[in-house]
Amino acid sequence: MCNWLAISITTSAPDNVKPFPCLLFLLNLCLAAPALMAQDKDTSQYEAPFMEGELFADYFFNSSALTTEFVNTVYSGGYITADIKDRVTGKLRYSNRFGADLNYGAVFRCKPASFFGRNDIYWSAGFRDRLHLDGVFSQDLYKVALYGNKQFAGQSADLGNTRFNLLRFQQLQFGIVIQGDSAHGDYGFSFSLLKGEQNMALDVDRAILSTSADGTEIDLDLAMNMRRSDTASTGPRAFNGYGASFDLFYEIPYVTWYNYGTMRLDIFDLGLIRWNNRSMYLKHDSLYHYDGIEINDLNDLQNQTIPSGNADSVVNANFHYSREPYTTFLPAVFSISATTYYGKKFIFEKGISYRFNANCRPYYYANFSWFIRPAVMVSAIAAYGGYGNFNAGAELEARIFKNYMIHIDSYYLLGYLMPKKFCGQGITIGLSGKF
Amino acid sequence: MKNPGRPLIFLCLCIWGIWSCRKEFGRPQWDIDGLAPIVTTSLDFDNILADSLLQENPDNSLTLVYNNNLYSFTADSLFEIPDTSIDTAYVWQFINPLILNPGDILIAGAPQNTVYNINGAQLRKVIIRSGYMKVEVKNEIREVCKVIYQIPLATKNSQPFSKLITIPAATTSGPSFFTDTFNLNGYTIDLTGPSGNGYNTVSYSITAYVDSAGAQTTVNQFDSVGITNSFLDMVPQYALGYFGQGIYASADTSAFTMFNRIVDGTLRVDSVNIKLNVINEAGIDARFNIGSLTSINSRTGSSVPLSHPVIGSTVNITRAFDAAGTVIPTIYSTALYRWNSNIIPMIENLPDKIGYSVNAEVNPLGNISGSNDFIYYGMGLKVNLDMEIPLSFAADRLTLVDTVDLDISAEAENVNSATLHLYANNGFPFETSVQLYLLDGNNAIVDSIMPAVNTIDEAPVDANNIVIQPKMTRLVIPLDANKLAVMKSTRKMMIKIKLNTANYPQYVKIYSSYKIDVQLVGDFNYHISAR
Repeated sequence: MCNWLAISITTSAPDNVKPFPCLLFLLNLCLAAPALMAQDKDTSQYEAPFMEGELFADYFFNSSALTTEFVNTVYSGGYITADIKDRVTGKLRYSNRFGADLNYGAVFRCKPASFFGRNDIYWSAGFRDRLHLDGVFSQDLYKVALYGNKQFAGQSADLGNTRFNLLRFQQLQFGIVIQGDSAHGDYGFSFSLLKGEQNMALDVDRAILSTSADGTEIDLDLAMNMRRSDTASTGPRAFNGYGASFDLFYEIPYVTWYNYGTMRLDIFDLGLIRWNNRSMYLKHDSLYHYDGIEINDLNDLQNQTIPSGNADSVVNANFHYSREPYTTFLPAVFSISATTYYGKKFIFEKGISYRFNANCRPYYYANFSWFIRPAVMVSAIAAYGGYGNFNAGAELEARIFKNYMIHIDSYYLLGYLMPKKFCGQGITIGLSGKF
Repeated sequence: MKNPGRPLIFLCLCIWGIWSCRKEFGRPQWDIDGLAPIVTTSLDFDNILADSLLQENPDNSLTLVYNNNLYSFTADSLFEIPDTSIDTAYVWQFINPLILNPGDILIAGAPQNTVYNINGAQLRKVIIRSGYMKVEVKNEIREVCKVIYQIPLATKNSQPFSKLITIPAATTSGPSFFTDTFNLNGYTIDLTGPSGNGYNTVSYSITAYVDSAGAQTTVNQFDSVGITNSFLDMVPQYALGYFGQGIYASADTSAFTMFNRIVDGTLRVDSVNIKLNVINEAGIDARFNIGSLTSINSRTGSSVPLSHPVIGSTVNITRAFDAAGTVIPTIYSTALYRWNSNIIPMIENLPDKIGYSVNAEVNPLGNISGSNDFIYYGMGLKVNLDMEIPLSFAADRLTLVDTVDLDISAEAENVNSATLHLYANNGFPFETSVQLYLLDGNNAIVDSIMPAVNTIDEAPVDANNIVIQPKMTRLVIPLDANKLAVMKSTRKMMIKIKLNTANYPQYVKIYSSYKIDVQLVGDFNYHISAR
């Protein structure tokens, strides 16, 4: 029974750098290894042939400044009061970040009695629908967007160093895990075929908004570029790009003060997507000056009080625009963790991970797990970094109906409990069954 | 192996249920405080008035040019071609029963002439600008008949007017009827008849026969074929002939729009140069007598009659010359200015109408042109006032009012409240007070926009009343939520402007370099509803 729980603990990696939904099955299998190595673990289940299926879904949104209260108000379409805005303002730094993932899928894994003559190999296949977004924004951008530009009268607001990435794709994954021994550890890898659905990458390198003290002039110094997948083809059936990715891990056991443990190295989402030639590329570098809609003749006002301009024509006139294919590298994750087993009741895991190309900071976490019953495990989690700051979470895993496991966790309990003060929210839920 | 179905199905249902009940992204809303320019403009006098009304003098001063037509005497006043009909132009009636074969002639195409009475005019030729010929046929023969209607002396592109009409066969229940109209636009009609010496005469011919593609048929006693035609709505583009003699008296008023937006105050003008022109664009001799010319201000009820030697005098004006379609008019012109008339008080009366009484006598010497009088559509005898008013004036509380459509419901939909800042850098030598009134559906004032202090200061001037430099004025216009609500629901706005020139009653000249730069800045609380 403990073997099940040990597997689940390890799969509850931090959401900010969320590798799991995509590799849940792989990790499950991989992290069966420490259990197998531990002398107090029952390894019989993973030594014997088995088949297992799993359904899972997870999401998270985290930010260094955007409180849970703010995000929920935006999501629900509520009114963002001055207090809500002010509480975010209190957390703002020069540069602020946010990120989110939404994933769901299914995986099937199998350890046959013999796999090309070997009995230490698991294989698996799975499907995932994945959505990732991240970004950074300046303090002034938030203030202009949420409070208006009046507070910057006679000053300049720095809206630059703003980036936003949105990536949505579907993943068909095949992997194997090779079970090692106490000297060489376990290792595994998986290969994924990717169908690109949607992408947008906005990079505002420079954006200085200057408002004159009397409001008679507004200047915008803007340098930006944006790539975007075909906007005419949207939805889950859109096939706007294709790609591939790899996932790797290596895990080795160790012993400290007579406690068994494992060291683990993971690399997730090492791959790319090539977007088709209907993708858009916009580039702009110019200085705007605005002093009002110009009226040259009072007779223009005979039939309308305020002449309307055509914003599209301005955009077309000043933007370099083309349609061309491009390549997006996935936000790959590099992770190192160490897990120590204290008897049959306690497990302590700590780790650090980093997500590349994703406007993310290193993420530190510690996870202390307690088997309150042989088939029920609860965990307490503390984490810092990633897209947010400090947060704490909890995890519950339990066996039900003898052969089924249910897993629920959230790394953002503080965001739920104190939404006005803390940022972040997210839940992972999974159900696996062995048959 | 255990059956994995139930838990997995349960989880799937849970996920599906949660997914189905998930809330769509709403539209988050919040308020911002914006500060931004809304409208900017730089207006010289050309922009304030239509370009065509202003001309620049050598010293860069401006003159207002205005033309006003007082009286017109055109072709339709001289004569009118009446709607006419030629009833039962032809009736072929069979006295005895008869057998008709395909192609048998019913009516032979012998030319016929009809002389019209055109109000005493003797026209030799007309070119039709618009008009129709209407043909009605009654057929009692039980076979299809054909009718060829021709006007040999009516031509268009050198082709005579000719129409082939197919008349349906009569039936056992009764005769058949046919009606159609034919457009005569652009036809030139020679009205001298077959002899070439007549007038008002239309020659035509009608031929009718049994359809050659038909069958033999029997007609009964008293069966007939009847044809009627009419000329309708005839308007000549050109007419030639003798238009007769006549005296046409007219006493009326003509709208004078130059000052129609002025509702109050005093305007003093330095000088005016007005030409009273009598223009003869018709090929007829005429004798004119202008009995009176009066400046009428309906608002104040004051009238100022013109005092000038032309009043009461008889003016003989000879016929215009037709240079192959280009009319060279004959013009009688007399100047009205400060020293030979009371034209200045007439203008300073700020008229909205000019009253007049005119007698026009046509062909006072009879038919001395040998029936070569001519007239083109839209032309005739006209009396015009051609005015040039140098923009050198003095104004005291001169108040102008205009009403414009207003619909800011879209632009101001999300504005909670605002304060508008109007920056006016005035380069004109007059101060301007502006008030904007919101009107209801009955054009009644429901609210005003501008605050009590609403005067844009005049530019300082030197001893010659020439602007030294522009002067900046800032007006603050608070618009609270209540006022905005009224504005959003209002569809008409009245603009009221009051002008006072510097150093009144001294005259100030307006130069082409004068202008006013206006910028409207909005300091507003705006409600954003993200989409």
